Amino acid sequence: MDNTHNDETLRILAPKGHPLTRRKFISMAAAVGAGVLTVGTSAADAANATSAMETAAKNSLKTAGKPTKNLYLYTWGQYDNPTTFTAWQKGTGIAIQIGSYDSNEAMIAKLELAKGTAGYDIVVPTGGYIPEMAAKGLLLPLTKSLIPNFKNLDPALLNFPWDRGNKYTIPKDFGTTGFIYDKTIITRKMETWQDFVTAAALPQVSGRVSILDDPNDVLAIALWNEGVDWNTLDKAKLHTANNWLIKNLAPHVSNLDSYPGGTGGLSSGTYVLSQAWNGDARQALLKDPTKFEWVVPFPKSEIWVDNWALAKGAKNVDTAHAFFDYILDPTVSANEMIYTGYNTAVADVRSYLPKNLAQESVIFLTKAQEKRLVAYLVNSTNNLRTQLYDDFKAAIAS
Amino acid sequence: MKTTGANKWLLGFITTVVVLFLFLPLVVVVVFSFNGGSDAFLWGGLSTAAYGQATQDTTLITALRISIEVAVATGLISMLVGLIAGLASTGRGWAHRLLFILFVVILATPEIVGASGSLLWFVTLGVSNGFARLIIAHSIFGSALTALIVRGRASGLEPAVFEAANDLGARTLTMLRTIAVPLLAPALIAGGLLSFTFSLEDLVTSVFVSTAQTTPLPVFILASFHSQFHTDIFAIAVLVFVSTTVMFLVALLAMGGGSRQRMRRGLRLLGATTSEPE
Amino acid sequence: MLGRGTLRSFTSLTYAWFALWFLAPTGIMLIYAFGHTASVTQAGLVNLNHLGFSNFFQALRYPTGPVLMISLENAVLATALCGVIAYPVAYFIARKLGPRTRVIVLLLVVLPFWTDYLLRMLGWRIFLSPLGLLYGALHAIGWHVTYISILDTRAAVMIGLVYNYVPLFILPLAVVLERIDPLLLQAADDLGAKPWTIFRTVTFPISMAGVVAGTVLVFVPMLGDYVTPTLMGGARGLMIGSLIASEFNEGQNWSLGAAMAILLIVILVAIVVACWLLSVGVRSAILRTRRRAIERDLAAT
Repeated sequence: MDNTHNDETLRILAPKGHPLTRRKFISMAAAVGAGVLTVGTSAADAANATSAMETAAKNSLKTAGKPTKNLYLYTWGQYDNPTTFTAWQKGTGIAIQIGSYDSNEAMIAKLELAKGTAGYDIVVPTGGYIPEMAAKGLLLPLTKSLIPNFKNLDPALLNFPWDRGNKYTIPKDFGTTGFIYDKTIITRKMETWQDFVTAAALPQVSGRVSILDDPNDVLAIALWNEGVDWNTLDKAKLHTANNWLIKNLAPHVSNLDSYPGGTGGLSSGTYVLSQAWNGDARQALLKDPTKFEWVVPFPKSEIWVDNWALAKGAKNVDTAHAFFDYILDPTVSANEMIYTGYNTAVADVRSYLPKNLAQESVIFLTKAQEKRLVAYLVNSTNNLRTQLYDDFKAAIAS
Repeated sequence: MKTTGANKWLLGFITTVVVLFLFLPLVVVVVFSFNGGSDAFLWGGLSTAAYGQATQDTTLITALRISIEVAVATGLISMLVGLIAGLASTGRGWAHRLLFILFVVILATPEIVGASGSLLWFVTLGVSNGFARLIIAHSIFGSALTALIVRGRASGLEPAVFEAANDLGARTLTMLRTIAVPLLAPALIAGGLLSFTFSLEDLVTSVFVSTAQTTPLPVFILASFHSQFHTDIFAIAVLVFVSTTVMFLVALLAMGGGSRQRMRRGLRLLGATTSEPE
Repeated sequence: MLGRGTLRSFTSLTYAWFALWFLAPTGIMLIYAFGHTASVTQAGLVNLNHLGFSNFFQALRYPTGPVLMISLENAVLATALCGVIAYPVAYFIARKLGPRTRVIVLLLVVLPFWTDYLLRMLGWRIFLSPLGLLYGALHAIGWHVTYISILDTRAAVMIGLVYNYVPLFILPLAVVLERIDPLLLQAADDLGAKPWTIFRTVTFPISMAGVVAGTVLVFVPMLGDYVTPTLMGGARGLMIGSLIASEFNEGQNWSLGAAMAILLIVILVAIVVACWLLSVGVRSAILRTRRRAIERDLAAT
């Protein structure tokens, strides 16, 4: 850590005129979960950093309507920095309870069955599923006037086809799908999805390969490889893609794991090649920076956007809006990014990050990478894709 | 008298090996709850930091409390329903035989089907209390379990005992209290114990049926499987284990001498055997 | 056994309770099997306008058949293993221990299951992981393997299944074994039977009720289990329960999932009923041959 750097180089102004020096920022980052940065911090520095977030929370609460005592979040597993929540609780006195799910479909299943009685206020759907949720009446429209910090959002991440005008949702973060591999074991060139499949067949790799537990991401490997848009409605193309996967990839896959980095599969040596989301791959890289290599493959890959939304049946609507306002505060947004490893949608959030954030290249996409990323919208071939996925899983098991 | 040649020591040895096998992953969990490293799965020295984190996490403690409360209620209801249902299924007519099939169907129904059906039904009926939902849903499986065990045990009972009670004009409740429960006690306890255990660790049903306000522990722990895993999860599991064990030991000691002597006396009067070791 | 009035009231109560909390909800779910899944842009889960059997036909197509075969193989093998392991343990607990120690050992059998299920599976994964504890232990005693490859195989699935279901076999079996009247065994001994004969002709047949209970309690839920095989066997742990669950969770295809569930339930009930009929048939055949043998002996005198 180079303390001779002029603090003026990075003039950061926390909301409401609370000047925050670069050193305090790094302390704040250091106060975050284990294994992210290894910077020593004093208790005083950490306290200063969190107090900035607490102030943001208090201010967000002021602009909301009538706040309540509790807030219930239904989100992906450990998808937010714990200090984000503690700062909110300290600043507003409102407790946050969290439920979790590991797939959009499971979340939709529960919300549909419960018809608003599940008790959750906020839910975090991936973009492609929003039209479906809106059609099924699972979301409440947002009241933008209660979210002043909406203006902090990068316009490039607003107004997606799945929610024109951002009627229901605010982008939370976005990321991509790629693969990560143990470069001490795999030494060949690894740039395309074809390379992924070829490498999986190598003797020292076969049987230690994981792919994402998601029908679309798996089918996509073949579709992207052939240059087909993975939103295709062409059933014949989907069948061909699946057959190719069954022939070339299925014999070598050992696990369907959506979190190979975070849950230790890569670090423990269980996997040497994994399809992964960038933030999760970063977890493995943080533990073993020299052992692994992350790739955003050619010719195409995915961009997904996760969003904050209000669930139907929410009892704490105004509090939820206050929370959205809080989460869009740049300091809070940067705090989230350090933990999750995913880029948030707040404009210029990059300038709020510490200079030496580990494995930064995994979080931020280059322009070249962005050009080859495509988002997915759930469509009518949904049932067929699940069938094919089951066939693929059966092929692995036999 | 050696009625069977089975060597006590050989059987004891097998039992010990099996118990060790059952405890193996628990030992791993306990050991790793003291892991001081930053990666929960790679050993990094001894540390009790995880316990500190776990006990301070109020949501974790609340989830634990909810799990135990639901499990105790489930165990008790399963014992009651299991007793009635198990006895009902011992009859000879088709209605009674069909009950046996019903229990099998309950066990056979994939949990996800039963869970989603239950949630749908609760919403239709307007059962919105999370505790009620969890307890009812868990106890259906537990009752079927207990009923089958009760049925197995009841098939070995002498009908003469019940007929005698009937002839003597005993009311149903008296019959239950003085005959059925004492004779079936081991089956009830086994069923209640298994139902409690099932409820405590149930995942699929709980995921569907729980509300945000009543989230049991396994659902909570599932979250850490979905992203990053921290050692405090291991710590909370050990705490669960310790607290339920202590609870049971306390209950056992409290039940203690008095009622068991009464049971034994009642059994001897009826000519039923006592179960002493060979 | 019970008075007829008591029996009737118990039966009605039982049916009423289970009708309300099991038959009704599950019934609704199963009716979905005859409908069509609502499209992703429609409200509601299922379209019940045209009812039909199309989901059942679809459920029977590949890969249900092969996956069901694998699941049955796994479940039968694992249940048999559970039975073989459970019998000596149950016998020991029921007949070789005093009442107090019996309760303690029974508790010991159940105790490990009071840690969270997911974490116990994780404990196994840590133990069996390629460079994990078993690897370390083997290296410590001088056996230098390159890496452990038990995890994510069918062997791991078997370990997981047997591990999770063995207590469900031990408890009901112990409960029945405990009930066997020592006077019966005494009588057999007095008549000069050898210990193994006593076991074969007296103890084991009487314990059959416990074996049946144990088998049902283990085999039936095991076949629909999808969490255990997936956690231990990874992608190779595919059992029929996963297919059903994936229709509900990922596919959002409730009708198809419900249809597959009906098929599974029917198959399981059929197997249980078949075994029960078989056991009744076998028992009556044995009794018939024994009676004829006795009559022959009597006629000869």
